[in-house]
Amino acid sequence: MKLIAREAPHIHHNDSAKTVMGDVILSLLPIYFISYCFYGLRAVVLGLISVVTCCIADIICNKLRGRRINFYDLSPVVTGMIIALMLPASIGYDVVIAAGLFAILVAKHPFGGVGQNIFNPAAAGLAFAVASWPTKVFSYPQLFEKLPIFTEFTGKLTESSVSVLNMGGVPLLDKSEMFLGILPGPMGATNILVIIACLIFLSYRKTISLYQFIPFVGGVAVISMLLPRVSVGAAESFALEIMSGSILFGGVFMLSDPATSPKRRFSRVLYGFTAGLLAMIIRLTSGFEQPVVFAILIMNIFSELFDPITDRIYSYIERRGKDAISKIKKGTQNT
Amino acid sequence: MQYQKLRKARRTLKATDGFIWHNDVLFSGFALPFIVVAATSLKNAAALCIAMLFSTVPTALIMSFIPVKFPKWLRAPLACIFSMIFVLLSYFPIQFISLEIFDSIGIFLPLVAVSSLIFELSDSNLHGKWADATIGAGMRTLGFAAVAIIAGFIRELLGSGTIWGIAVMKYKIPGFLPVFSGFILTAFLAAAIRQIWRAIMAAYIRAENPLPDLKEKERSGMA
Repeated sequence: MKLIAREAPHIHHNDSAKTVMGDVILSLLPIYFISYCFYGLRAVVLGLISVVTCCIADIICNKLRGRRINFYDLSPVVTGMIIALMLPASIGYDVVIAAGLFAILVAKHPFGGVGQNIFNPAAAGLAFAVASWPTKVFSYPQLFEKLPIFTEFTGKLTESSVSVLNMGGVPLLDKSEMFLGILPGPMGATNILVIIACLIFLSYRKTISLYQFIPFVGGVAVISMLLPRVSVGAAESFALEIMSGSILFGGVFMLSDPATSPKRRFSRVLYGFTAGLLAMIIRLTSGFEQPVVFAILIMNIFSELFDPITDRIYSYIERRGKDAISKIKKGTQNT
Repeated sequence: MQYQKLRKARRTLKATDGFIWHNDVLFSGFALPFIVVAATSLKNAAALCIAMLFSTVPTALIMSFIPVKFPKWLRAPLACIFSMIFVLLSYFPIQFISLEIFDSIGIFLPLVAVSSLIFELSDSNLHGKWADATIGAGMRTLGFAAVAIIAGFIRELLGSGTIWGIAVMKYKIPGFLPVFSGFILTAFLAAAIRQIWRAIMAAYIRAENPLPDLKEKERSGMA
């Protein structure tokens, strides 16, 4: 009998890193199209520069680590696309490049590279951009304004609806305008309709888990309804908070990173809910416009704890269940 | 395999114990807060180095004269008291660096007197060996100074666009000044020194044990 020796794995799933990342890239493309409609070619150029920066940094890191370059690894492309979409369209290219380099050189490869990273690289890169240039990152151009491609934007910059909420005001915007993203904000994070469509696509493809996203929205709802920042009803407060800023975008594209998420279903529910609570608490207490980025980074630190906690809960319930069943059996035998 | 050259090199490099070999900051994580929080500019780094020099070397010298029978639980507080006196003396040379240096560094200057390096020195068993104690403390201060100066230089240049307060670059990345950047930079420096160290050791081993020429072997095998 001829035996053929092959390396593990011997059982292959239909999904791979390439298909998962490919799905995310496909779902981000409509958002880039919407950004192009709102802000012109500069939005696309920002995305390209971000992607190229992340890819070059990834190649350099792989070379330094003595690893083979895997051209099917699309994770730096996803990182680059997400970073650009969370920034204003008028941001300088240097900010995007710095964020991309930080994401790959500091948050990804020193911790082991793709699949081994502790922190979401896009979230880390954005956190660095926020810490370095808070004024630039939180100033947005008006929609349909012609943005120059090769020079710095010198036109009027405005604040987002989140800063209005931070000051205790109610954004003077129609809910439909907020739903369609017709308001100043991060390039790709304002169009709620498109983000929800992407969510449906990604959950249908089983790329992201609704067990994580729905509790995340639940956590946001709990805080926004219990502690509204403005004098409106609970439902309206929730609607304003979820449609302002980049909370929904972060929940769909960054929270569900498979490398940094827990594995068990119940762990993901707990993880998503805690992340939602934390994002809103950071928004209420710090006034940051992108609290989801910091919430995700903090949750990444504790994500490894959720699976053992769930295991303990399951084993406790199983033990209690067995004790209860044995008591019932003894009771029926006695009668 | 032959290791004579490697052993000789290690004996020679052991003389730099604390500076390159077993740098206290990069290998053991001692005195880390001063690097990550306070060393945000060259001036701050220089002030910390002067304070550390005044704190460690005389303290190590005095502690080498303390009798062995002296209770161990009293050695550390005694070392701190001596260190505090010498750190106070260091204020005189430090004030010439800059008028705002004391505001810039804040509490980290007096904290040098109770740094983990002082506790480590108080615990070292060098009674009677005052020369070894002084040289050892000097090497450790050099090691701290090297890391502080490199970190201060990089953070000031990239974070503020200045060197020693003089503007040299228009472009700056303020993200290099907060504490998290200090931690990241120190981690990269620690990784770099380990990589350099491994490369030096590998070079010595390879010099003594050259790789066989595989093609020659194949040819001789085939012949």
